[in-house]
Amino acid sequence: MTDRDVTVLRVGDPGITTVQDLGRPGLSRFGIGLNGAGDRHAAAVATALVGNSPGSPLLETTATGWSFTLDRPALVAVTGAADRVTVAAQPQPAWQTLVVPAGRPVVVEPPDRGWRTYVAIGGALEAERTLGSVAPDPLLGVGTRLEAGDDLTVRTRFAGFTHPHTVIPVFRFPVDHAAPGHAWEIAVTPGPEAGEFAPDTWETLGEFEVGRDSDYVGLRLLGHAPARRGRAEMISRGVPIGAVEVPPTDGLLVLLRGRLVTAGYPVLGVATTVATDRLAQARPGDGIRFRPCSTADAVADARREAADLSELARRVQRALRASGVERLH
Amino acid sequence: MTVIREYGDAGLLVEPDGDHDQAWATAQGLAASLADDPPDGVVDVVASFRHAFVVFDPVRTDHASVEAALRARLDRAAPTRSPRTFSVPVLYGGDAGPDLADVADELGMTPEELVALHAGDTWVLRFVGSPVAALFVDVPALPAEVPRMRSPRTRIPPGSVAVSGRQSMIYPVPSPGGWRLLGRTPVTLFDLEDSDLVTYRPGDRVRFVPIEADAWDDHSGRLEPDETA
Repeated sequence: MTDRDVTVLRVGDPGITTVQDLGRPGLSRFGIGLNGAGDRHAAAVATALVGNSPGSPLLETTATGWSFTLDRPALVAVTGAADRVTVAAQPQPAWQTLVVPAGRPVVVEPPDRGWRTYVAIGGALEAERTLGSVAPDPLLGVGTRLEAGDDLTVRTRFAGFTHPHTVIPVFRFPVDHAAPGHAWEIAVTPGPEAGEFAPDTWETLGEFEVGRDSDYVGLRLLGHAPARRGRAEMISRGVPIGAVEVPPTDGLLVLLRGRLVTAGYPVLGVATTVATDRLAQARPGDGIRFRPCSTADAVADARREAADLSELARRVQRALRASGVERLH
Repeated sequence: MTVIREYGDAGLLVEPDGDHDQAWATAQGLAASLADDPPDGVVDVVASFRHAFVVFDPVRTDHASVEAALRARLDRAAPTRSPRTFSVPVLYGGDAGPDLADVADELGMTPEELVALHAGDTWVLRFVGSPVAALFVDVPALPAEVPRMRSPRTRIPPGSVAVSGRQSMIYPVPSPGGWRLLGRTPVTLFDLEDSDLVTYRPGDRVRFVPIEADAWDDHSGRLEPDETA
């Protein structure tokens, strides 16, 4: 037996589920965007809750629920939009570490609010990598989407619970997360073209509705866009994920992680790192309001969230080691 | 004076001083320097026609530190390499270039005149961008700036050759986009199996060569540089 046993995850109802990670950073010189988990924070929390290292592959489900079984007991965490999870028909908490027995169906119900759900399995989930990442990129033509009956391989060091006929809630970690709603407040810092709009633009912008043609590239927001002074054609240049663009037609475009690395629409503002994860949870029909935010506050928020995540990962690692469910090398 | 502005909580936008060529050269030199020897926390850079967008991890560094590191590198030139020329076969107009007639009309010329202009000279490859491996060139011969689509297309066919402003590009893969489509090329622009991914670099030269529809299949394959004499 090797140091890593093979656990097989068999897909039941696949929903719209892909194997994800944190994407392909640093490849803009080839025009390759980041992609990866839309809600990076939810993905990172799921990863931490099962004791995996940051950036490990996990499953991302969009809009739907899904179900699976494992042929050996394993640690599982569900985060993101879904808040109703059952194991062997018993309700279990999301945003927690679950010990799932072999052969018992895990059902993630479709969420009523929010858009993307993450399921992490303790161990190394195997999937084909391109340029170092398993993340789907429709422009590159890569990615692994699950189908009913698929078997995924997870290499695990899980060693606990030889007679696990019920889910044993051994762990209880403090995870701070806001439940999704149907109205989102998105913090934005000023963009390079903010000066081409009236100074009180953010205050006077009303609520926008997330359009049906939104996708992983960006949200199309329906509503009344602010008027830009001057109509000069802009030259293409790099655009950040979270950029709030003002196209010449009405409404706004907000770029998500599948964005092209350059664009040529005026950028009124940029959603903060923390708010960009919320944008990935906005579903068609949801309302979006923008709140102006200083860059200093946005950086402080990002650092606080990163520190909380590191602390969670440390607690989980300590608990897993102390409980002996992870075999040592 | 080169302007460096905050561009979100994890980015800076560099607009180098000088004319179009100087700004481009500075942006590309900065990008090459950052790729070669990234300052702590800098994770990516998008160098384009006359900007460099620098992405960093705000947990590891901050705007002021990155800006200082960028200013210290502004005078570094991009590594020189003798430019190579890439001839790109293009089927202009018709289904391949649905915007050719409209764009020509807006520029006050016939479609034939626009094709002759677009294919009439060798253009400097300014950068490689999205979608994957897209090449971008300046076309200074365009008599006016070409407006983008008022509403971007959701799916542009692969190989589409497009214009906007006084620039042109190729969409190597199916993609959304707002540029106006003049034609299509049958060549493929990148190879995921190749560690080099693309054969061209900023500073290379691009020439568009009109082809007839019945010659499409003769030009399939990967885009390679012209043989040098």
